[in-house]
Amino acid sequence: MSYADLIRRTWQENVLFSVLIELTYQCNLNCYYCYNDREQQGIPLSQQQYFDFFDDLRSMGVLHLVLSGGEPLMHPDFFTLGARARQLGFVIRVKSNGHALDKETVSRIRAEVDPFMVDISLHGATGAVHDRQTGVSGSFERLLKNLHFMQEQGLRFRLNSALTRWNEDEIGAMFSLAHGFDIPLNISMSITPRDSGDMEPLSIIPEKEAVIRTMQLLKDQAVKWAEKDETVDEKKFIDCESEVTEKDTGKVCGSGSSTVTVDPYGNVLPCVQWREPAGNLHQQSIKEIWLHAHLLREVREITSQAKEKMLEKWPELDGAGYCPAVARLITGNPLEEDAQSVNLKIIRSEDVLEENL
Amino acid sequence: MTNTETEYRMAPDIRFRRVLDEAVVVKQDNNQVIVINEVSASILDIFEEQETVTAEVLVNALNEAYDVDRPTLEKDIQSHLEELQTAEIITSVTGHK
Repeated sequence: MSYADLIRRTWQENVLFSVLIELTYQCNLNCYYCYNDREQQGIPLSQQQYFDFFDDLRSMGVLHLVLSGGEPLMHPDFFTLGARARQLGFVIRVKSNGHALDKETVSRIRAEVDPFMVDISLHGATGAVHDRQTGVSGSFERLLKNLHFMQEQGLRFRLNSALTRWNEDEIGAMFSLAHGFDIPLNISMSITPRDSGDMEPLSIIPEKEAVIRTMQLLKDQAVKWAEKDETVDEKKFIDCESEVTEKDTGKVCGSGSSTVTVDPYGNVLPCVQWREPAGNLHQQSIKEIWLHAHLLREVREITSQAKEKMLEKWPELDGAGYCPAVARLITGNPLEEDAQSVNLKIIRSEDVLEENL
Repeated sequence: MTNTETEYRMAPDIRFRRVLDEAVVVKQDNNQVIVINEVSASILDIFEEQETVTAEVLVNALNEAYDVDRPTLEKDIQSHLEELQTAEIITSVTGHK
């Protein structure tokens, strides 16, 4: 059995395999389209509660832990928790804006947490655009410096961007910037509302032409990287991860089936976009929540129903690329596709049909 | 080359989990993932419990789980240890690598 097949089985058989932990909503940047609700109140999980939670996850067979935020490095126990997760054998990813990753911090992360990867957000190819999106002057220059520290110290990182109306004219230069570090650039084409329900970020949804241009750049990049990897016999872990798609799983995603998100106050959510608690770690263990939460059963059912619906509506796309949680945020119904999603599918669909001609 | 007294430990970049009825090894440094067989998984279970392990410890621990005579088990375990060592999943801590 391949690793990708194994992941598919976790979706199909509801086996928790990956957990995203929002350690804190504190952040050293102020990104325009950040989805976090910084006004949210609650009692943060203690260090001991995290330790117990990690022990439970390990005994459940969870492999992946994503330490996220806010900016996870702003959590006072970041290094202690990261070291504990490492000791328990998790494959750790850190989602960071990169602003605090100076030479000393990079060195500590490598030595104490040893993550498989650090996911870094890139907002533009110039200070003017990047800093406009982050809301902090000088953040672009500082990020570039910090990326060099990471590269020098062998800390694997990936650059992730969201295509917006503000950065759509720099997207080619953003690919070049990533390729300069010998890594591909990952681009998300969709902008989501804030967790508070605020729709303001949708005002910077990119133009259709920019989406088409970016899709072509992504295709060019895929060809370039396939050529680079031609001599590699064994499958790279990171490639296997990206191979795991919705195909053949009967679901549009692994939300509530293979993954959950935990917010800083112990709320266990079906995913990072579905902000309704299935339970809370102050009251119940993750094992109890995973086995008995009504909401998780409901979300598993919805991801299956959504798959059927999308296969019927977009057969040429294999029913892929649909997020019930975002649909729920925008339309109020997880099975009712929002306009942004429809527009993206029209573009992808036209592209697929053109390729098949 | 291995012998029953050689001590081994899991390589520091290895991450290992049993998932469903399979087992996964991630080699972080090489960016590789392997789905391993049951015997190798049983061996790595013991590596997770003890920092260093010898072939003799493994044979004693797995003797009851596998319905084979001891000499056959010893041979199988030596063979698996060599494979795990070649794959850089375990390393020798007493001179042999």
